[in-house]
This record gives sequence, C-alpha cells and structure tokens, in this order.
Amino acid sequence: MKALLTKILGDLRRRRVQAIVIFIIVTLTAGVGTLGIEVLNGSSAPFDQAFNQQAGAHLQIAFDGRVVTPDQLAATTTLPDVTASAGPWPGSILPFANGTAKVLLRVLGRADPGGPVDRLQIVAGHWASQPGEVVLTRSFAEASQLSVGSQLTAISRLDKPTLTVVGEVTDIDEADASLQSLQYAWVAPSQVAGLLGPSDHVDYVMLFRFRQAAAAADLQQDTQEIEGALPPRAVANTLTYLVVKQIFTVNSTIILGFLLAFAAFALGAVVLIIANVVTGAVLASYREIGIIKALGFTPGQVVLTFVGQMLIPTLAGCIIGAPIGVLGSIPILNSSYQALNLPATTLVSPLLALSTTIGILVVVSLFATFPALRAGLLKPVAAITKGTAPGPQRRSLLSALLQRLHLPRPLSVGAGDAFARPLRGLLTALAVLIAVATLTFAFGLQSSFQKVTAIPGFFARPDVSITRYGAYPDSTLMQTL
Amino acid sequence: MNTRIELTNVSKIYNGGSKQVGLSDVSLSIPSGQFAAIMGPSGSGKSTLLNLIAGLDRPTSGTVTVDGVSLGGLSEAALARYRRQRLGVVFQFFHLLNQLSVLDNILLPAQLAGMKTATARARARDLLDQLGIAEKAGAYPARLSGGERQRVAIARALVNRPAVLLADEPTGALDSRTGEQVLDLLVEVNRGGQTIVMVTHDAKLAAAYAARVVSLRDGRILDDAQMQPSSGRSVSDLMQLEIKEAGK
Amino acid sequence: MSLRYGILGLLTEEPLHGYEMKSRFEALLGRTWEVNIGQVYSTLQRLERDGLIEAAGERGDRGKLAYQVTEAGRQQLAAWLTEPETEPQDLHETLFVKLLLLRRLTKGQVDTLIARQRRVYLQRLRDLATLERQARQEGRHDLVLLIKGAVLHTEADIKWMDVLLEEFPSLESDRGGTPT
Repeated sequence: MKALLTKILGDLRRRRVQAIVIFIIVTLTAGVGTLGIEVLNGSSAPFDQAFNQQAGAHLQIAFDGRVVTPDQLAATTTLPDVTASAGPWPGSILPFANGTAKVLLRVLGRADPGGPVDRLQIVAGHWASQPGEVVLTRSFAEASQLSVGSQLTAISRLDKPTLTVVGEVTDIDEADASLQSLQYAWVAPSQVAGLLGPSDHVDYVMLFRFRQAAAAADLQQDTQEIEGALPPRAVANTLTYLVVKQIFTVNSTIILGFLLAFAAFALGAVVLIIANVVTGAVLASYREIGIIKALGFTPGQVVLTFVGQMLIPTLAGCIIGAPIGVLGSIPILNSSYQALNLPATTLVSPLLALSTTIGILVVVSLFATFPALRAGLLKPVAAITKGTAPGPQRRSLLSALLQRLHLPRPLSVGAGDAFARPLRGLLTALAVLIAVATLTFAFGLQSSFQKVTAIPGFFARPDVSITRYGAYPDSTLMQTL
Repeated sequence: MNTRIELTNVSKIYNGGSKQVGLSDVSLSIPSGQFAAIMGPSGSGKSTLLNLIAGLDRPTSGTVTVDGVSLGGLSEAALARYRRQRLGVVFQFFHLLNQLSVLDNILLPAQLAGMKTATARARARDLLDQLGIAEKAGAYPARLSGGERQRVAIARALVNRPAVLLADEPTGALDSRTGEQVLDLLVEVNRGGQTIVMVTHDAKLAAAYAARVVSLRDGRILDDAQMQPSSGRSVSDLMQLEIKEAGK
Repeated sequence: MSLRYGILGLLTEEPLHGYEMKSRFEALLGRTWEVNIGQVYSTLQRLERDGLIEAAGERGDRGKLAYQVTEAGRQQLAAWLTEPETEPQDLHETLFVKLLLLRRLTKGQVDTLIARQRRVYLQRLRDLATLERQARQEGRHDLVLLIKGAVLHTEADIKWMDVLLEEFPSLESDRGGTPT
C-alpha cells in the first residue's frame, strides 16, 4: 500500500546506517548460504554421472590368490543378484620408484579398458598390451609429474624391471591423488607374474554390479552372497562404491561444513541485529506510532511498517548475494567434473537460490515481527500523551549493586539501566555472544588446524622412512643402516 | 440539517487505582457545518470527549455516532478505517512525521484511504495554496515555524474531506498572533462547510471563533451556548467610562 | 477621577472653555465615548472650589468662561501623574448579592444563574474580539489596548464563575454580624 511504502521509505532514510549494515550482512549470508546449498546439492552429481556412464562397480573385491583359483571365482558371475561382473584380474600391491620417490601401487593385469563394468576412459596415449607398458590414472600422473613416456621402476624385485607409461585414464575410483590413497597401475595380464617379488603373491580383483545396491545394507548382503559361494577367507578386502563416493565428495564436504556454519552464524547475527533494531525503533517511535494510528493505520499496518523496513535491505541483500553464491558454486562443482573428464554441466539450481532467499526472508520477518507486535498493540492516546515507552518503575538490582561499588555516578547510573528493558538487554547480549563465537570459530579453526598439522607424523611425511620390501634380504638392510 | 456527531448518554469511567470519571451521561448533537468548541478546565472531560469522537477510545456506556456510523460496534481495524476516511485531527503539538516532506505528510491519509496519486497530489497542492504555504511543499517539518507546521497539520487533516475536523488545543503551542491566524484559517475552512470540533481551555478563543461553545465541568455539560453574531455592537455598548460623581 | 485630572492635564497646555474641555477630553480617548457636559461643569466647580483651577479672563459671549490651572493644580497633577492607582478594587458585588438572595429567598439552585451569567461573559468575549479586530483594522491601537484589558477582565470573570460553581454551594448561609 502506498501509504505504508511512503512511511517505510521515510523511516529507512532515518535509519540509513542500520539498513546498510543489515544489507551487508544479509548479502554475505545469502551469498555463502546459497553457495553452500548449491554445492551440497550438486557435489555428488559428477560422481553419479560418471558412475553411470562408466558402469561403475558397486563392489570391488580382492580375492587372495592362495585360497581361490580363477575357475572358482568364475562361479560368482552366475550368482542370482549379480547383474554384471568384470575380472578376475590378477594383480598385487607392489612398490615402485619414480626417481627418488618411492610409492606403492596396486598393479592390475587387465587386457581391455572397456567391458561390462568399470569402463575406463583413455585421456592420453593407449592401453598397455606389450611387455614393459603401464597405464596410470591421470590424477596420479599429474601429482607425480609423470606423463606418457616416463619410466617407473618396479623395486619389488632385485632386477628392478622398468615400465614405461604409455597411457593415462580417468576413473571414478581413483579418488584425489592428493589424499594419498592407493593408486592403480594397469599392465597386460601376462606381465603381472614378472613383477612379483619373492614374498609377493597374486590377488585376483573382480568388479560386480548388483540388482540391489542402493544402501550399505544391500551391499553387505551382496558381499555375503559372494563369500558364501567361495572357500572361507577367500576375500582379502572389499571396497564399495559408497565409500568411493564419500571419498570423492570429501573435499567439497569439508568446505561445505565451513560454508554452512558460516552462513548459519551470519544468519544468526543478522536476525539478532534486526530484532534489536526493531525493538529500538519501536521504543524510539512511540509517539509516532500513536500519531499514525490516529491517522488511521491499522495495528497490522503499524507492524508492517517495522517489518517492511527490515525486509527492504534484506531483500536487496538477497538479490545481490544469492546470484553471487550461485556463480561461486560453479567453479567448485566444475572442478569435480574436470577431474572425471566429464563435460562441465552447470548443474546449479536457480530454484535452490530462490528457496534460500525465501528462507532468509521468512526468518527475518519472524524476528522483525515479534518486537513489532508491541507497536501494533499500543493504545494511540497513551502513546501520544506519554510520548515514550514506560520504563522501569523501580531501581533495578543491578543499579543498586553498582551504587554499592561507589563507581563514578555517570557509570553506575548508565550501567544500572543495562537491563532496564530486559528484552533489549538480552538481545544485545546475544548479538555480542554470536559475534564473539563467530570470531573465535574463525580464528580458532585456523590455529587449531595449524597445530594439528604440526604434530609430527600427522600426515606430513617423516624425514626418513625405511621400508623393507620382500625382495631384499635383512642383511642388505642392516648394511644400509 | 444533517447531524454529523451524535453522542447519546455517553459515560466513560477509567479504571485506574481509584475509578476516575471521564464523562458522565453526556448527550450532544453537532450538526453538519457547525464550528463547535468544547471548553473546560483540565479534568473536565474534554479530552475524553475528543478521543471518543475520534474513535481512539470506547465509551463505558452510551453510543457515539459519527456521520451515521455507530462507533461502538467497530473493530480496531474498522475504527482505523473510520479515522482515515471520515476524520481529520489537528493536535496541539502538530505531530507531523519529521522524516517525511510536507507534501508526503499531507498525502499520507489520502494514500491510506486509497486515493489515486494524481488526485491526491492535486488536492494536497490545493490545500497548500489555500493555507498559504504552497512554497513549502518539499521542505521538511524541522525547518518550519510552529504556525507553518500547524498549517501543514490542517492540510493533512483536510486532505480526505473528512466529515469532522477535530482540533485539540490547536493554538496551544503557538504565540497569540500566529494562533489567531490559524484560527482564522479554521473559520474560513468552516465557512466552506467543514464541520469543526475544537477542544480548548481558552474561553476567549472558544467564544471568539466558534459558533457554539459547549462548556464541560467534571464530566458533564455545564452550558451549551450558541454564540450570537457581534456586528452592530459598538465599544460604548460594551465598555463604559469610570466617571464618578464624588471626588475625595 | 479620570475626568478631574484629565481636565487639569488639558488645562496645563492652555486655558479652555467647558465645551472645549469636553471635546478635547473625548478626543483624547479617540472619540469613542461621549462625556456629559453637565458632569464637566460639576467637575469644574469642584476643581475651582479646591483651588486647583481659576477663571481666566471674563465671561465671553454666550456666557462662556475659560479656566486656567493654578500652581496648586499643577502640583497636584504632577503628583497624580507619578503615583500608581491605589484605590480599592471595584467589587462587582451585584452578582454575588443576587446569588445570596436567590439562595436565601428561594432556596433555589444557583448553578443555572451562574451558567447563564457565564454565557453572557462568553458572548461578551466574542463581541470584544470582533471589536478588537475592527479597531486593529482601523489602526486604533489605543482602543486595542483598552479592549485587551476588557477581555482580560472578562476572562477573569469567567474564571470567577468557575470558582463560584465549585464553592458557592458549600458556603454557610446567613452569617449575620457587623461589617468590619
């Protein structure tokens, strides 16, 4: 209504500073909140997309080659719940050297990058088919500064056979190389035996897809089914796609946590500020409320003038902040797509940004309405004649206490009124509380993180690490030491 | 003649610590187009009467009818509507909204009543002309003198062509010359047909400007006097020289 | 009293006849009021008796006699001009007596009379206001001052009506006794 708008705009002109502060904080809240929610919504999408595209494995099982044979493993492919399978691929976990850096890799003998499960996409070079050829995941290659043509030395054996990198692939299974999980190295199946050291044995890796694989419980059942079809202790270890998915999204999950926490703090701060501003505004405008009621504002309209004053800067903040949040989420989400060599689809949902905005507006309205209700209920005659809100009738306890302390009069008089209007005192205290909490969280997080990572052995590499691989007799080790 | 305001056996009792009687069985009928003054000392009930007519308060018993509408049965929201559509109020201390310009202050009741912007602006400018403050339209109340502010208040009260203009001690915060000017304006407005009810404690103002003076005392009507026109009375009719026969 | 000293004052300027004194005195007050010539002559008699004025020259045609002020007259005028008025206040007791008699004789309610008297005063205020406006328009600021005085007195009278309304009923009737 025109009259309401005129009054609201007039009041905002008077409260410029508060309006600007609210606008700034809401912009931050909307921006960070929308960013967080968009990332939350879209973070698992690249994984799902890649998983479907490459027919990812619900379950990856490494079988102990000393307990089962490939023929026995073939039986598992015909189990009722298995919809597709790949392998058994021979392999082992073996140490390699890349220059002076040494690393353990999971070697697999696989003839064909395609197949019914876990189709690998070659992004450089070609598949390994000849002796001496090896294929690595792209992220591992980048992290280790290897490329097609580089050499890796297998140090599992004393004769240290070298392998040449002939290709790079992307695999949803690869996880981020920076997390230092076990990386793959594919060779032609016939080559596996030649890389094993004297104490190494062959594993067989099989990949499965099931009818029922939606939840962890389903996968557990499927695993049991497979175990049941084989001799005991055949299964060396298993990896479900759910775990892989979690690892995949862990980076965004961490960021997400911080983003949403920050957004929550910011929202908490802004609504407390708004409640405080409105309470103060109602007290300051006491007589004016009486006047506009005498002019014919209904109680509802009076409440709306206060709520409206708060909603305008809030809306402005959302309009600026939410799109920024949406735009900011795009690079974060896209990095996941890039890693999987998928086309970057902007899977951002404008609907989410809108819901976030509406959510903020609703919360703000609530916190603005409660203090404003008092204004609506005011009797116009009383407000006009009295002019100011009735204050405390008696001297507060705090005031009496302060007097006892014999502080300078101006101090004790002022401070004694701190809780004269209890609601305002409480709101102010809460607002300060949130501010302190936010600052503590921000700075504390940083310093805690630093302290944790400074703990020796945490995930920093030790200065010297000595591992004896099976190929080397103890005597050689003792000599080195 | 239309009756604009009708009070029938109206009583108002305040529940304070001890019961205070604001009005006691007051019946009053103000016809359309009349300039009536309600006068009395403080505590006589004149403010109570004003508040009842304005729908800012409800009587303990009796009925208040303004422009045919009985105020007793109205809800808070309905009373607010009544106030914005049929009433104009001028206060002793002006009570303009300082954060709005003069024009916006005057427009406010019109906007509340849903008047179209163009119509409202035209009406506001007319009133500004009529009240002699046309050049102040864009100014803010803080920069105006008391008399100018009261004129803005009058314009604001008249913008919706209300059934009744209520004036509560309209010259109380003004010096006597400015006060007289404001009252002259009210008389002029009344000549155009506007019903005016003015509450005042000042007998001189009530008698000099209003056509009817209702005197209240202790919540009751003491006297209800129609003022006679004064033309044709000379000074010597009213005042005589003090020429005595005996000297000392 | 004003005529007596008014005449003295006018005579300090120059000797005057009776009629001249009347018209000049009326002119002093702006020709708003008319003074009775008989009162002028009786005042002249008393002034002469008191030695404050004396005849100036012979009776002229039509029996006109001019007067002039004496030294004593000048002195008394000088004294009067510098002294404030200390005469006791006029009581306006007519209304009061009316009320007392009303209550005594008829045991009736006095409120109605007081209210009606009040109404008279209200009307007077209105009339005075109109006169004041006229006087101001005519530039008669001297009259404006007099009218303002009258207005204030009338306002006071109205206030007295309020007091009477409040306190007359509780007055004990018939004190009797001797005047002080």
